[in-house]
Amino acid sequence: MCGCGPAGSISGVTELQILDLTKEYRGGKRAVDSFTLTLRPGVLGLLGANGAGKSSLMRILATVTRPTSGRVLWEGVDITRRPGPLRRAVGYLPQDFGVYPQLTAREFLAYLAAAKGLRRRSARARIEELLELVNLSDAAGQRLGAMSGGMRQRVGIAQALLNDPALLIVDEPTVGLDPEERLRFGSLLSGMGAERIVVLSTHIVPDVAATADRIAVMGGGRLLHHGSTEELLLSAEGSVWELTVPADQLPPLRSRFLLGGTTRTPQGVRARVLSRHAPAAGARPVPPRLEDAYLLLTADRSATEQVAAW
Amino acid sequence: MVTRIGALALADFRERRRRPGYLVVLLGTLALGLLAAPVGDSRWEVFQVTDLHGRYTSGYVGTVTALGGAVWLSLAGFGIARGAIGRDEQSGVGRLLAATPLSRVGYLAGKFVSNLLLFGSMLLALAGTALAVQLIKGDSDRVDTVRLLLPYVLVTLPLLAAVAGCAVLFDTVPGLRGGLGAAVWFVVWLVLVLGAQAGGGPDLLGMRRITASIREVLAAGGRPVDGVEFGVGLTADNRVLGTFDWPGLGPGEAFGPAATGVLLVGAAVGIALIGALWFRRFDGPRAHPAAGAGGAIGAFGPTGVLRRTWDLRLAGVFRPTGQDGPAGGAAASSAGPAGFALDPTRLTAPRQGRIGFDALLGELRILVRGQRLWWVGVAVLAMAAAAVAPDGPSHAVLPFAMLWPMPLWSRMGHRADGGSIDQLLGACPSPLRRGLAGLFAGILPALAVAAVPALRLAGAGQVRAAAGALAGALLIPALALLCGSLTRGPRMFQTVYPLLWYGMVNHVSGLDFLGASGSRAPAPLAVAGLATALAAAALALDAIRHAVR
Ligand SMILES: Nc1ncnc2c1ncn2[C@@H]1O[C@H](COP(=O)(O)OP(=O)(O)O)[C@@H](O)[C@H]1O
Ligand SMILES: [Mg+2]
Repeated sequence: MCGCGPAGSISGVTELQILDLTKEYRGGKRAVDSFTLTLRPGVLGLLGANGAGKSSLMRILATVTRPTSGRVLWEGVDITRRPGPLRRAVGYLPQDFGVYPQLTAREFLAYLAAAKGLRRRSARARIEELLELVNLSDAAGQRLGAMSGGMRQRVGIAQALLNDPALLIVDEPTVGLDPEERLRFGSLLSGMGAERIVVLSTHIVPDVAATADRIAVMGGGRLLHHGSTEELLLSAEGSVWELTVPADQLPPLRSRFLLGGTTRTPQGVRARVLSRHAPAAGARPVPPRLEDAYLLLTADRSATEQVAAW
Repeated sequence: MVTRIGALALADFRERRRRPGYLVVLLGTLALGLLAAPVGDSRWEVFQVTDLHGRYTSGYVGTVTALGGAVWLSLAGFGIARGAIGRDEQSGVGRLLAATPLSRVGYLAGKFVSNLLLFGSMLLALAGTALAVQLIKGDSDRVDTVRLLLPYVLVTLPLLAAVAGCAVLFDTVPGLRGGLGAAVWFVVWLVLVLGAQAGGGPDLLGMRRITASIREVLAAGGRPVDGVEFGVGLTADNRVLGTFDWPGLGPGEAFGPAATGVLLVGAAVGIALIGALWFRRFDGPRAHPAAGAGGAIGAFGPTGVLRRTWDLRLAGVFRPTGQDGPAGGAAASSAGPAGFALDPTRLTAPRQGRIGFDALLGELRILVRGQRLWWVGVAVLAMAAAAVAPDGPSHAVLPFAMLWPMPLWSRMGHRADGGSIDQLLGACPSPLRRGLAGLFAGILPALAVAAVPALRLAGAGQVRAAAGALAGALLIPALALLCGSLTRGPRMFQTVYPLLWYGMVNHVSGLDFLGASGSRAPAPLAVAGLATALAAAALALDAIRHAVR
């Protein structure tokens, strides 16, 4: 074993530049819209509602689909024109992927290692270690078709790590992992982020909160916000209030304000109100959580959209 | 129940109408319609009456296209009608359906109706073409809708209903789902559909009534009728000497074919639904014995009530203790150390090489699909080939040996089994080299079965025949790759190859791709050149798809 550097980092800082990227599907659906961002080593959490365009963006970064316009530069090389260098450096876990049901986990990993052009001897040792990493050593000889969704997801994670990627792109990776595995997987990503670029998409905010150094929030294909986790929290500072109301007052409150959550208490319902101004006399400001900041960001957007629609 | 079957059938039909295979067969059907009345001086014919052809009345054009459509769609159409149940299983739709109160019979009936819609849509297009052909030809501009459509209703639809039923049946029998099913159907088709024109077997095409009616017309016109022979099938014939004027089958002559038709439709329904006796499962992540330890039976229970046991087998954590199946690893994963405890940056560093031999082996493994017995078959064939001496330029074992890899070949060029595995492979480097690896993975089995016969031929001094055998071993995988990547499914190859093979064993000289007919066969170099062209076309198609991905 050795701690050699990741594949693909030639010298200096690894960098992935996304420049004015747009993806329009046939039929005119614009899934990614003028997206610009530069990624450096570290974990980037990509947050966004379903349909925000996260998977589309990641498919482009992994060279599985082409952008309609705009460019992505990996170490300065355009990945649409020359996908080779990025493909040798990337590990990609798609949101949903097929497997060959008749192959065992070990055979499947060997197949993908060959498809990635890894030398057999080093690949063989690494496959065994990865199977241990994802805790499938005992099930390595089992056919994929007979595996549960969670087990298959772990095979997917193992294949993304086959080539010791300098760029790791994982799309909703925690599906099917149990809570403890989720935590450990998060710290695995953090550990990898020391030298590599890790992009992690999810719509589960707590997954990102613990793992990501930086957060990009996507909505309607656009980049709504980008910054460190702290910056995102700061953006919600002063906009989160707690207010206790009788239960029958909740629906009117909900129709007027964005709620970050409600808890029942003996005094009534304690609501977390997200608002730039104090929602009512008795409301007291509370420190924001990442979810609050995320909700505010995405809500702001849909509000402006509604205005624009008028 | 009826609306539910209808909805299921409609959804299924819509899904299939959007597949490339549908388009290929539809284009073939339209071409057939156009050839029914040859344009200009071309001599193509779909319906042969010795050296005569009929005037292009509604009835004649309708009959000719209806018969041609029956013969063509019962083979090529079967190919695209098949596989609906397997697709539901692969895609997981089956499991969604298993969670509804739909009964097994209802499910199979839905697939049957969907097949009928599939064929019906093709026939509609064909009948439209027939009408257009009649008008273009201008032999007769009196449009008689009844006589145009009657042969479709009496002959083609009932026959294709039976074919639709068989397609459902084949889907419910696990062994018949793949390449073996294609081979079995080819034999059934040869015997029943082609046999029906020869006049020997059951008259599935209503040929007796039609030919009797034409003979009457010929006799009335004072022509000799004894030597007149009839046939359906695409031929190029230069001998058309005269025409006759046959109005087509009229309602008065419908009774005989109608009786056969009713019988066929009845049989079709029975054939489609009989699978319900044993077909009962969309019950696991995949229906596989290894998963069956605590496996669910009867996802479609007799009462139609769902028993969702597969979900309970999900993530190892939820695995009921004390239930130690072959999947014991799952239990271990919850008991043992949890995952993701290692530091991935401290694992063995992988070394990049080129995509080459390993990728070829990987593709080969996927073609063989873990069926080790397949190689045993190769060994048996090799021994048989070694024992049999060649007979001139032909070796008796070779043609049959070339059937053995057919299930492997029909997996080339597409990833039907892997579902969206393209997502994983799309991020891997060197698509062209991987494409080549896929091609060679198909050539290797061909060489494995053709090597010993070729050696024996060469040993007997038949060098040209030996080279022919090897060229054929290049051609078929290349053809398979092209068919597979063109339609992204196995059916086109499974339809084309048996036809080609049948022509080859019958020494149709242009089709003798193994060079068994000696100097009458195409030159081995030409065959190898064709193989290269087909493979290049397939790889080019891949490259185009990659460029516009
Ligand atoms: N292959 C495709 N063809 C057409 N539209 C697509 C395709 N993939 C995604 N979309 C559309 O693009 C939008 C973004 O989808 P996606 O990238 O999957 O978002 P997310 O991963 O954030 O849920 C959605 O509206 C979706 O319907
Ligand atoms: Mg997604």
